[in-house]
Amino acid sequence: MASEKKVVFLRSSDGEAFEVSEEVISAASVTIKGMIDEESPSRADTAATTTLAIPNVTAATLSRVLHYVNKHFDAAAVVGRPDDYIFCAPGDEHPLARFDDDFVDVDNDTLIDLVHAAEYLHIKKLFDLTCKAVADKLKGRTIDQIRETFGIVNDYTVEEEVEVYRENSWAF
Amino acid sequence: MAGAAVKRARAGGGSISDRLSALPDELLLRVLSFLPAQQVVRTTVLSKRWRDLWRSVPDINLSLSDFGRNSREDWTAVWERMEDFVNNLLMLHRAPCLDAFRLVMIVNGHDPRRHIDRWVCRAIKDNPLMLEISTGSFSPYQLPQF
Repeated sequence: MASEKKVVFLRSSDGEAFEVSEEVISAASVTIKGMIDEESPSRADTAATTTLAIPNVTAATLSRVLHYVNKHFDAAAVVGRPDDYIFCAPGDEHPLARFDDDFVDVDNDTLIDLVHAAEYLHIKKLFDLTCKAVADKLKGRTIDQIRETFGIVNDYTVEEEVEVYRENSWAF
Repeated sequence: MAGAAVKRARAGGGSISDRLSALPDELLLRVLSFLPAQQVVRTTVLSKRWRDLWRSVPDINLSLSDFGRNSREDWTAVWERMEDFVNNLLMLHRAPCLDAFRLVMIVNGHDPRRHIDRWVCRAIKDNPLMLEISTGSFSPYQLPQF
């Protein structure tokens, strides 16, 4: 019995269902662990598989999130790694540093979808990773470059803009 | 003027939508907490959405090296620029509490201790969860007595 792994299905906002190990997803996502705990009394003595609706996350994003979760939380449950690696310098390689770099090497929209999903699902490591990746797209860029990269429209009037620069001249 | 810019952006490409600015404050602040403090403050000019966000960023990351303009510049000038910046920042910042205050000060020949003491005392008032100070091996730093 012990070797039999329980699975749950997660249904994305656009109706696609994904299978994932209950143990792995519970270790990764505080939100889903809560959903599973709520369900468990009613399914303790039934063989039925649980399907959980994830209304805020599309299939495209959910499949990426589960890719990350399986990579990070499956082995981690056995080995138990330190998870403060995101602050390491590029030189000192965490086993999954390269995976993480590739994982967030995506376009802005995909990345922002991942930030939302990580926050909603409450997966702290993924939330930190994706927020840092957004920050890296801002780092060292000029104001004009940032506006262009993210499509930010400058809605200050000329007078307002002059005033904002004047007020914060100590930062320029 | 601003209206024209908005119209231009909308007409120019239907695909342009500013999803970064659309993030809730809490998420944007988390993003900003990974950036050096100087760059965080500069986001104020991006658009009205960003005007006051920097004041609430829960992490303050300061490094002397961020204030140099070129490698030949005299350290005293770099140091003065940083001092002016940090004094303003700490006066105008108003996060209810800090997650982290990080200060990297590798200095030779100039004693930054009394300024660092002042900044550290000010930062501690906001109860940071983490206080990180690097001064390099040549200028050991001891926390002030409280």
